[in-house]
Amino acid sequence: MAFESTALIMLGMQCDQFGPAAPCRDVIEDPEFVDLVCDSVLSVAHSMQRLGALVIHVPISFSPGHPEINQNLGILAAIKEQALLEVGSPGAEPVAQLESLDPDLVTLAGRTGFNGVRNTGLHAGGASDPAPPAGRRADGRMR
Amino acid sequence: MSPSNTALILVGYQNDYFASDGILRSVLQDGDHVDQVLSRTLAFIEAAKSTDMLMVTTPIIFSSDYAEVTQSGGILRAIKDAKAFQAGTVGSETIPELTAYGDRIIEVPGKRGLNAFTQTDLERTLADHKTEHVVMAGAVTSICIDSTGRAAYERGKSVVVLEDCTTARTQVEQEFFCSTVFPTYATVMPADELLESLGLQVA
Repeated sequence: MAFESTALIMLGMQCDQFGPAAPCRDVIEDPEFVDLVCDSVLSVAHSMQRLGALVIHVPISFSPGHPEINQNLGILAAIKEQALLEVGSPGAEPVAQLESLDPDLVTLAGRTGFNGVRNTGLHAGGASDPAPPAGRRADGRMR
Repeated sequence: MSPSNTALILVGYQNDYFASDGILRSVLQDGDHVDQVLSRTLAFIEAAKSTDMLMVTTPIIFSSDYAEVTQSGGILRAIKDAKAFQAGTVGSETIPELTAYGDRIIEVPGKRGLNAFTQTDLERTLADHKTEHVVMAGAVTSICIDSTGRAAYERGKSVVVLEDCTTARTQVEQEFFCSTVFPTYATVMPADELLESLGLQVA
């Protein structure tokens, strides 16, 4: 396994999930574990960037009012009920720690469900995936 | 939820899992659990067959050289190493208990991995039948049932996992998924309870 052919995929490193006031802390057995996970992920991401691996962030976000969610049960319904991860809201923003990563961090938008491959262009091989949106770097420049 | 807007998705009902001499029978739950799962599944099908509920099988089949499996680890690699679900073998065939239903159960071919939506026409088949509710049955609970159930949920379907019509590798795994994992996106219930809620007679 060579770093040049390896990718670290970070999912949902956003304030509504990992921030100091993230609602998900209420449903996790040990809320402090959220901070440990965040710190560990960032540590691995820094190391992998340094070693030449591709580091990708796949956030999850929804349009205002969450029209993408029509489920009335499960975790997506809960996200909609609590108005979480809405584009433009502070909760949908990446956690501040991501800013410390190299600008080569690739951020892929479009995820509105569990699967980071779907609708994001993360992997172009999915026959049922629609055309992927263009990726965007953490600094806002298009890839 | 009514039979007309519901699809039963039958995953992994192939000889290599469900036949007594199936190559991968031994990786499933011990004892007569697999037979009980099959018995409960057949009872559900029998009770629902006269309705307009969509019923589909999504067999997983690989070419003779397993060229589709490039992974060096995990369940797909294990399938390749065990030479299971190989095209043209008895093990890859749908079990006779299901083929006995003929065209009443539609086969959606093309599954080569964990998710029955990937590289198959399952999504189009569900859309053609205006399916809103998906009912999951088969093997393996923690792998293909979970992957396919999640994919259905992400596609806007309401998902029911039949706890007595699914089998994991161990009882602990089955209980963990039914009590902890599936409720994050699905409703978990026994087959009789679903039949009752659909107004169908328990077979």
